[in-house]
Amino acid sequence: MSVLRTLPLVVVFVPVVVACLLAVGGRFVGRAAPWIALAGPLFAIGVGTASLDGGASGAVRWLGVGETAVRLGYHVDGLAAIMLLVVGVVSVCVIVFSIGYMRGDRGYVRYFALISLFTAAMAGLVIASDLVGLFLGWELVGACSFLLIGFWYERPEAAEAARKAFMVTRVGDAAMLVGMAVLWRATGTLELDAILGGVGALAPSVVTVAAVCLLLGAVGKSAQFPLHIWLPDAMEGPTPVSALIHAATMVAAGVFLVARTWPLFEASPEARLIALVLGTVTALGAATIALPQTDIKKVLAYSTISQLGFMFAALGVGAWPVALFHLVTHAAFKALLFLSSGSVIHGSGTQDLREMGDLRSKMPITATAWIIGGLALAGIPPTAGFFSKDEVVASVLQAAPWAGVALLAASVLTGAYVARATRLAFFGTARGAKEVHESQWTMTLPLLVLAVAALSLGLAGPMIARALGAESEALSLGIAAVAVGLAAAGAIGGWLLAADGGRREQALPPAFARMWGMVRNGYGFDTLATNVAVRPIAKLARFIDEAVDRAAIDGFVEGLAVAVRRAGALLAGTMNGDGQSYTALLAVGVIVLLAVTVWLVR
Amino acid sequence: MPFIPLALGFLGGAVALILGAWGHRHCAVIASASGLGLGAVGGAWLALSAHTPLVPGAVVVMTPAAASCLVLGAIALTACSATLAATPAGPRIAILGAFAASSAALVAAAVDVGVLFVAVETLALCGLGLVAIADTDHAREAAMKWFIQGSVATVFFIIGIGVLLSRTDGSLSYAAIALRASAPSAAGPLAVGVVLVLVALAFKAGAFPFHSWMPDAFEMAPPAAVAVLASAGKVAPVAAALGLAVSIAGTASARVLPIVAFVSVASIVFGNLVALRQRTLARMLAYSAIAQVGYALAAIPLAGGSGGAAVPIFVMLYGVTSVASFVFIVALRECDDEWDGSIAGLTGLSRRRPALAASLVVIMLSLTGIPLTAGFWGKFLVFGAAATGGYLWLAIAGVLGSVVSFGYYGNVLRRAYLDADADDRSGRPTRISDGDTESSGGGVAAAATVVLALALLVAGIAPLITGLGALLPLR
Amino acid sequence: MTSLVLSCTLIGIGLYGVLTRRDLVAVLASIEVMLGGAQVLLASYAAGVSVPAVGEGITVVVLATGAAEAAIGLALLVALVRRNKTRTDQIEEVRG
Repeated sequence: MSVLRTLPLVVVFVPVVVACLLAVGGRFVGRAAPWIALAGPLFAIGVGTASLDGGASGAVRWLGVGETAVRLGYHVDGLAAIMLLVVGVVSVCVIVFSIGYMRGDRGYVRYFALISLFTAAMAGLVIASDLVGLFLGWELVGACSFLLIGFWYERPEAAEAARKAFMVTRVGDAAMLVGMAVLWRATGTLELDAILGGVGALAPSVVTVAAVCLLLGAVGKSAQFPLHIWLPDAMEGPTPVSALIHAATMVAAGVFLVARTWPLFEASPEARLIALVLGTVTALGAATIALPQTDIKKVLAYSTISQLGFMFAALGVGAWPVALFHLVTHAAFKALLFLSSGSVIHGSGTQDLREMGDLRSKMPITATAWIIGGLALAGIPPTAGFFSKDEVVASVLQAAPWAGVALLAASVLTGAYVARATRLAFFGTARGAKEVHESQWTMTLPLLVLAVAALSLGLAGPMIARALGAESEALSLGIAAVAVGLAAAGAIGGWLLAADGGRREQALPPAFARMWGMVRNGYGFDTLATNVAVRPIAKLARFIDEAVDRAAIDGFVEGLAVAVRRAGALLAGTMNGDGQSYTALLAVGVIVLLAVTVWLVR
Repeated sequence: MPFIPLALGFLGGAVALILGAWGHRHCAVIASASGLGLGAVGGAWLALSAHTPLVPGAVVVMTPAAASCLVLGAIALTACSATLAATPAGPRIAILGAFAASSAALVAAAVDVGVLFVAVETLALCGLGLVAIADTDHAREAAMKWFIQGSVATVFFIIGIGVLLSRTDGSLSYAAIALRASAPSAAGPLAVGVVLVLVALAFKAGAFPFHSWMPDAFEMAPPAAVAVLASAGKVAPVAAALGLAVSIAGTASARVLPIVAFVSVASIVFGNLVALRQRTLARMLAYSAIAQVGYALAAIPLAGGSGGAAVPIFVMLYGVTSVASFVFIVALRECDDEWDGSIAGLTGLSRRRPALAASLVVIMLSLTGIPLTAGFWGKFLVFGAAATGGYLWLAIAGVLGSVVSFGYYGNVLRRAYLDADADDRSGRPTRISDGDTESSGGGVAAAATVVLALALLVAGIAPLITGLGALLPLR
Repeated sequence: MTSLVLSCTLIGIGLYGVLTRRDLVAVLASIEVMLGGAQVLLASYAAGVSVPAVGEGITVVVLATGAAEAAIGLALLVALVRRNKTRTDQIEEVRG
């Protein structure tokens, strides 16, 4: 274990090498690809376990010539170790699950190569000790996400969703780059330790600008309002990818970023307030949107956005260890829910809730896993979600009661949508046309592992707090009782809503139905964003393309190309095939050079 | 000691000569290649093991560049061995190739202008033979023109030797020149002598305006012969020019070194612009070689400082890329009789020969100097040395030239990855060989192309991991 | 001084011939004139060296190399003449 602790870079190198191997030798590896791809996450688990109470830090010299070199620093502390464990465990489960889920796909090996590359990038992001390395990892996970959302690139929806995800998160990334530039101007370094240690010496306005910019980066990556629109579309990717990247790890990187740069936010109440407002709005808004969804993955997508909103709200009131705790439990139960939905989709051949029903009898293991995940999501004791969500709600209520009340309302809705989805999918009468079967063991085993985690991780709260160097919060029984009661009430409401296989929803009064549809479409925010932001920008881009690019730049470039070609023709004219003119050129050249020589040494 | 590897190379050629005379074609080719190979191993060992201190009166020092000439020659002959053994002229090409590579090594290893002269002339004679051996009208024409220009260059070389001789009192070693050049009175004439020798070397390297022989020779000579001439034959004169420049660096004669910068920029401009117009692959590579030599010369004015490390590394990495590009041509000829050598004829290569096409990508990117390939590091070092050493304008010219060069290198790739069906406009009949494409063929040359391309990738990626220090033993 | 003038004259005549004569044989002859001039120059410089053997050695080596070159040149000429190509303007086919 000690080697793992002192050489944490293996968590980056091993998966990179594996990804290269798979990319190059894919044809020879074939069915063995997933087993090879397991190497990376296993190392992540190893390093994470070994470094829980502090690991190594150092730097890799890169591109060194003599004294000058690009340094890429790494630093594994409790926070990084926890993230490594989350990434490692979820990756292992997802890879094993994918063995069955992706069987027979044309891009089988490519899939595992990308997953491996993603683990490397995520590990690099987590252990980087300076903003350069962190940003490199940040962009690389984004690139992997892009490639995996668009994994089935023949489908136009998938390609479009990948593009959208990339563009929307790019907005946040641009802000993050600005924040990095601000910090670099102010401190002259991008080393995290140096920046965070010197926050006190910086002007408050600089700190706020930097913190808000970094926060915007986090908002983009974690799909918070108003940059949340990419995540539901990202469900076009394979379901295990949604579990790994778009539920458990990458989207949580925003929370990680804020936690990593916490001293900046500690010094900037404005940035914290923005985080609190955005988080609360997202938590409540996304929870309402999740309720009327008919696509099982869309339910989970909006649920993820909502839960990330809970974490941002906790960050906004300064309880970042609590946010991290919720991140860990959420990673477990949301990965569990996504993989269960993957199993459902695999077994039933559809992801439309209206075409499911009574899957419980055909897929008992999957149903059990889903229900455990659902209980954790709703925050029902004794699951992990109960403990972490209680801490989040309690700390937010304490600092900002209005936000706390909003989160409690979101908890009601959480109970409602999860209960509705559960009843529609697993209870009632079978509505699907296809013969349903339980999935094979490689798919159910990861479900069981994650189910155990979702049940037991609540007890890990004190351990996580210790690794982060924070006090663990005592369970506030009063708030817990209220929250559980509200969630249960919501669940009963959701359960009743889903009666008759969703026919009750369709029998709503017309006015109510229109609203239902609007909520289902995310309050039309996506359309709004398209009309207000995307269209004008596209128009502007077209204008620039026509006016500036075609006329000026193309003209210039083409003119240059023509000039280059003409000059080439002119010079080539000297190569006329006449050996004597070649010789003359040679002799003239020598004489000119000699003349210059004589002039130089005169 | 440094003679032994060189002697092994010549010996290989001599043995091959005898074997060839007896009619043992295969044996002759093998003897040439293995003689060079043994010499290469010995040379590399000598060059990379501790730098032997310069013995007083030494005329030859085994440098990494000299060893690389032997290595490149061995690679070229080994990779082309199947073709050479199969053609009647093959053994003679192998013999002359072995002599040419060994002379090139001698050019790079010489630390005495007298030895340099003999070596350069031997290399020139072998080169003439290698072109004329193709036995076509155009090849003879190219050889004759080369001969005429070469003779004039030789005349200037002899004058240069005379001038040097008059000021060093009979000693032509670089050390003696360096010693005398420190005295201001002798600096002027010595500088003239050095420039005349540099002219002869620039002619051999093919720098503008001494380049005219090269496109004809590269296009008309057998590709296997060009594989030697375009790699070892380029590394050697550049390395020798650097050695000469190093010897006068820091002396009063060093004032003439900026003229190399003029030759460099002229070569970069001329080579890149004319290469854009070429239709056959070999001729395009010849013009691009003019530009590449221009890049190499860019750091020679800084021979006393950063250029001393940059130039050999650049030129050796270029040598490997160059040998790879001509081995590619040999490989393509082996598996495709119909190919006329034109760039347009590469259309559809990616479908017919995916491995060769992929190797071609690496080779062309390395020639352009795209990161992750070997060529990038050479240019990085050379332009870096020029930019930091007061020749920023030259570095900018080099970078702009590299940008232009992607026009023609990229065109090769565009062709190779163009579908044959989509090529009705090219005027060339659509390739018919789609059916028998998967015939195994290719053999040694194709395998060598792939291996060399992989080597270029490794050399391009390794410094990212280990730092540039990994390249420094090549100095 | 005399030898310097002689050599420069020879080199000049030779270069003029190489650049202007259309007959390949004449071009080769001019080359030999040029080489001869350069060798005279070398010999005259070598004669001034304090150890005569060194200068003489170098001169002989250069002379021998010149002879080898002449041999190759003549061989090429023969090869061309066999194809009825005796003039420089008959070998201008490769260009561009």
